[in-house]
Amino acid sequence: MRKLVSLPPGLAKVLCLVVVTFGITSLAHVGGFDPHQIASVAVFTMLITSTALFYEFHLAFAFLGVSAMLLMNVLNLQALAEETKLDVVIFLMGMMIIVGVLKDLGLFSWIITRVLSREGLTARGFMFTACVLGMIMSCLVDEMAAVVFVLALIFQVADVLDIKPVPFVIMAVMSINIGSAGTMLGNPVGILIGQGANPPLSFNDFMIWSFPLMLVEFAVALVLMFYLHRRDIALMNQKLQERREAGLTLAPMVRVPHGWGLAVLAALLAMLILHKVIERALGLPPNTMLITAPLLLAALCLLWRRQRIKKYLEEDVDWGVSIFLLMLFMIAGALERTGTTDRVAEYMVQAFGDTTQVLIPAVLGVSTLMSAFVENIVFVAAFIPIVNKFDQTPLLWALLHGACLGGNITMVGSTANIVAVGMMEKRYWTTVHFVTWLKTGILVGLASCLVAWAGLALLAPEMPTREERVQSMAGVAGTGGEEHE
Amino acid sequence: MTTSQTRRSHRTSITIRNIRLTSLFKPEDIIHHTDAAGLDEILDSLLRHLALEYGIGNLREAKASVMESVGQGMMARRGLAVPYGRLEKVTEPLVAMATSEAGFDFEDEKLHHGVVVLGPADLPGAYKQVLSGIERACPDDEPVTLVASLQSPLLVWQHFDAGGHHLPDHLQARHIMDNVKTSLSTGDSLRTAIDRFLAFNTPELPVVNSEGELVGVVTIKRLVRTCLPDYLMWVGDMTPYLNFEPLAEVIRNESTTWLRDIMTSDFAHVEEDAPAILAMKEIGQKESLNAYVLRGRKLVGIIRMLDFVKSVLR
Repeated sequence: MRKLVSLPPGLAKVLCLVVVTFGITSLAHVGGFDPHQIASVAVFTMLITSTALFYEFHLAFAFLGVSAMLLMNVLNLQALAEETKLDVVIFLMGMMIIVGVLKDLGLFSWIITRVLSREGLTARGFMFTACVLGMIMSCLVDEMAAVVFVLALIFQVADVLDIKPVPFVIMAVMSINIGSAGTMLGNPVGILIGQGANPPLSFNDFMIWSFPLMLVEFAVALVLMFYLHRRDIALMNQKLQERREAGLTLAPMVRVPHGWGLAVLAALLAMLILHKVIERALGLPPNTMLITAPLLLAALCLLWRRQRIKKYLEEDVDWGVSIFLLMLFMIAGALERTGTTDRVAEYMVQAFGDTTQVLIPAVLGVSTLMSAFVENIVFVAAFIPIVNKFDQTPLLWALLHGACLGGNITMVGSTANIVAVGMMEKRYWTTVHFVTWLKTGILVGLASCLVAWAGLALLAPEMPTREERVQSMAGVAGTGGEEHE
Repeated sequence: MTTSQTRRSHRTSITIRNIRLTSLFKPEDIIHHTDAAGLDEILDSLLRHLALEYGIGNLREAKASVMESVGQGMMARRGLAVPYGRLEKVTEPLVAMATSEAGFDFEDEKLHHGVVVLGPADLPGAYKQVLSGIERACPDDEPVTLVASLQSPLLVWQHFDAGGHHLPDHLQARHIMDNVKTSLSTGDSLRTAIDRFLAFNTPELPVVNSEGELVGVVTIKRLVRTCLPDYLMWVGDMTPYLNFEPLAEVIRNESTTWLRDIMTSDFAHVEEDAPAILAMKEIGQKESLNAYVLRGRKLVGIIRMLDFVKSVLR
């Protein structure tokens, strides 16, 4: 078919940004939103659309959005400072430093060497290990660190066997995305939902209600991915066998120091698992220890390895992400302050009612779809206040799982995907086509979301109500829980 | 548009397209039956002629530029020498030639035909295109003394004109490729490869099968990456590697590690008729040092990045 209109790609994107922003803002106007609400909707839509269309400039658009909010008097300087959600940002920065320390201490290199030195390793065994490791690492040290770790493992095998890494990278990254729904550490979305929920969720809440569900989703996705990529796995197996028969290993077998790395990881996990107990013992407000744990450990690591401070701060802390999150939380906070989220929640009640079993697929579906195309944290930051309005615990988990699982659908669905594709392009000069990713992503995304829906529907009656969570929080710290009311 | 119009268009729009070789010189540009005894003397005469007729700037600089090609890269074969130079003052390719029935000396050979080619400094491929046109006009099976035996400059010019040879519209890979000095076969071991890397002082070696088809490339870079993968470099404490422990296994197995196990099949390559610029693109994209020139799958030449830079940019 002949192209009737041909626009330069840059101009087409700008037009798309303008049309979407104008369209949604007009809808807000027609819907009877007040001027401040319309302004906050316009800025947020601009941010969400520009993140999808111009990812490399997302920080610039975030700055622009905050400036617009101030100039239109939607937020004042004091409100701006109150909306930054510094607890979430410093938690993530502490985690980034700890991940850098763990890498530096050889923990990740040791695990990779252990995997590659396994005797009689088959392609199925290797990919199973890579996917499981990706999922676990994502739960423990966040998806970004897990991507760098698992891709190093896959690149080593792909290089040695001289095979294309694309299908294996897709499988591993999808496992990482699913794994990121398991704990509070898996994804910035996890800590954001945990801290943004009213009252906040604890690390143990994630372990009880989200982790088991994530495991089932992962199992289903794993079976599906192994089936979809069976030919690639067979080729890898053939090459592995040839190499084994030639008596060659997959990597140099060296002893990598790892003891201190294991100790740091164990200390972090212990503090996170016991955060509620510690808070109760010290009479601290809810989640104080949760946020403090990575900071405390990072401080100790920085003192211990003071000669490497510059490296940890400059190379391991992603300042771009941290600043973007601050800006994003300010913009999303404006939606709540202006009452925009209340209005959207009212519309949702009108559309879906307030029955949990109807709202679960609605929240899951919307967050999955949105996360497939835009940065999930942008969407979640705005959607938490809406979900909070319903006072239904299962919806928080639906939001978390939708945001994490939706990221698998397209190659721009999550930061992990974007980083993985970038690493592949840089190393192999190969472009991963949108459709190549979509072929696996749509099936894995759909299957895992169906599992999430079924799981949440089954678990919903067992989950504590908001009142029960408030009482539980009040038990942790007398005034702390009430403060969140 | 005629060929000469194309040649003489404005400087910024000069393109070598559909140019007949004989449009680059006239019978007056041919020194017939010269008495000169050596190539150096012939070069002086030809350059002086070009300077007087067309203006090529400082004669000493022109000589120095041309002498560089005599030192390296000059086309010289079977009685013919084609020194060349690139000059800033030259705005379009210039050709002048001399013939000698008695022959003139160049190194240990007796030559009968000398052609000097001058190209503009800012048209990187122009002189190579002219060289390629001359190569076409002087086939290997032609008697060495044929051109030198012709009785007048006009007959020499007509001899070239009768062939109807044109310059190629763009440089092709085969115009700038070099011969492959050494290669490995799939049955060779890593030990052979390491010995060859050192003997030829090269960081990269092609691997061919029994039909001469290129099947892969072994590089020092890949060898180092095999010994020291990225993930081992993450570790801050290098104590476990202080004595090159990761290399131990490679050394232990070097005689039983076959090249197919460490070579890569993802190498920079171009077809011999492909535009030469594609070789540069391939080299850039693959972050490689060489591009391999293929006829089908057969390895026929190599374009080294350094040679490429030298022949195109200098």
